[in-house]
Formats: sequence, C-alpha cells, structure tokens
Amino acid sequence: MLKFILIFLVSVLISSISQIILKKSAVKKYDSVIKEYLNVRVICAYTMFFLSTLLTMYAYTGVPLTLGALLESVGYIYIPVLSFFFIKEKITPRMVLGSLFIICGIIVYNL
Amino acid sequence: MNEKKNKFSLGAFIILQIALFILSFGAVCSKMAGRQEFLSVPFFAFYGALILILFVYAIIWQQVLKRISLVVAYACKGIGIIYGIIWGVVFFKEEITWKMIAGAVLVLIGVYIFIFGEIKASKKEETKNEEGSTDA
Repeated sequence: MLKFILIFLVSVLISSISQIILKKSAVKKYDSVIKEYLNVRVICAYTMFFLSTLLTMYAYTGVPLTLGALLESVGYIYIPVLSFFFIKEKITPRMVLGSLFIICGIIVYNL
Repeated sequence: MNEKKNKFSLGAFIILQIALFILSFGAVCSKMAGRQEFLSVPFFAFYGALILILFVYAIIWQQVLKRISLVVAYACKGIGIIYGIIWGVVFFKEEITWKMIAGAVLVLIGVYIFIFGEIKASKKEETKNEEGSTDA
C-alpha cells in the first residue's frame, strides 16, 4: 500500500505544479479568449494535470477512496511552498499550523 | 486590478462549491477505471467520464482563479474529503473507523486554518489598498 500512497503523493505534486502554472497564466492579460486558453503555459499545465490523472488512477488501485481524499490534501502543503518560490506569495504561521494538522490527520488515519 | 485580485467573490465561491461537488464524482470514476481491464470499453467509459468532469471543472476553476486567491480556492477543495468518505462508503463499501474520522477531522481543521488565515490576510490587504487610495 505504501507504494501506491507514494505514487498518489507524486501525482498530487504534479497536479499542484500545474495549478501554479495555471495561476501564472490566469493573472496574465491576453488579446483574446482563445489565447487565454490556448497558450504554452495552459497547455503545459493541462498536460501535467492529465498525467497526474493517470497516476492517480493507478494509485487508486491500491488506495481506498476515503484515504485518497485525504492524500489529495497534501496539495495544501505543496501549493503554499510552490507559491512562495514561483509566485512570491507569503508563507504565514497559519499555513505552517494548517500543514501540521493535515500531516497529523493523514498519520492518524493510517495508524 | 490588484484590488480585484484580492477581493473575495461570493458568486465565484458558490460556483466553485458546485464544481467541487461534480469533481468529487471524478475520484469515483478514477477508482472505477483503475478496476477495469486497461484499454477495455468500461475503462474508457470511466476514464472518459473522469476527463469530462475534469474538463468542465478546469474551465470553471480557471475562471474562479481570477476572482479568488489560489490558496483560498485550493483550501475550498477540503470539502472533497467529506465527499471522498461518503462516496467511499456508498460506492465501494469501504469501512469507516474512528481513526479515519479523527484523521479526516484533523485534515479539515488544517484546511480551514488555511482558509480563514487567507481570508483575514485578504481583508487586511483590502483595507491597506483602501487607505492607500484615500491617501492618494
């Protein structure tokens, strides 16, 4: 089961990176609606997102749906860290506290 | 522009909640697809349904991101934990234990520490912007 949990965590990381790329694209101004959706950043982000769906699907063969829902929450930890490095958003003490609760929750679930 | 980015839009928030409910069925389709023979008709049916759900969700998500901070929008996904537990029991007859519930509660507390912190920061930013525009 650990193997599938790790695959799930990698999948969430890929998905989180794609969200950061989408955010970078969303705040940028484009000449048309088509360009807003069809540009390198958006295509790259959705390709990564698509890859993460395949990985998640594979991970679900060894992970229960109830645990999967919890494992997806590691995105809350990945996103602020990635946001800090790539879109210069601040990491607050609350985020650290929230992350600790999420990690504890996943550990308690698996005890 | 900056003010618009930091504003908490209730309309976008409600649309996001509807999108998250639809998205929760994506996990069900994902798990069902994983149970089928790879590249078989049922596999494509479930995986296709997953991609369709993700497509609809992605369109909504990208629009929502323009009106809500990424951290808040991502924190709203916390509701997915509750859906995950419900659908796990309903569709896959998964067993629920007190440890699982305690774990889920801890994760949800963590998620909402994120969301309330972000809303507070967002309000502070708005006040700062308003004061800045008054000074100018």
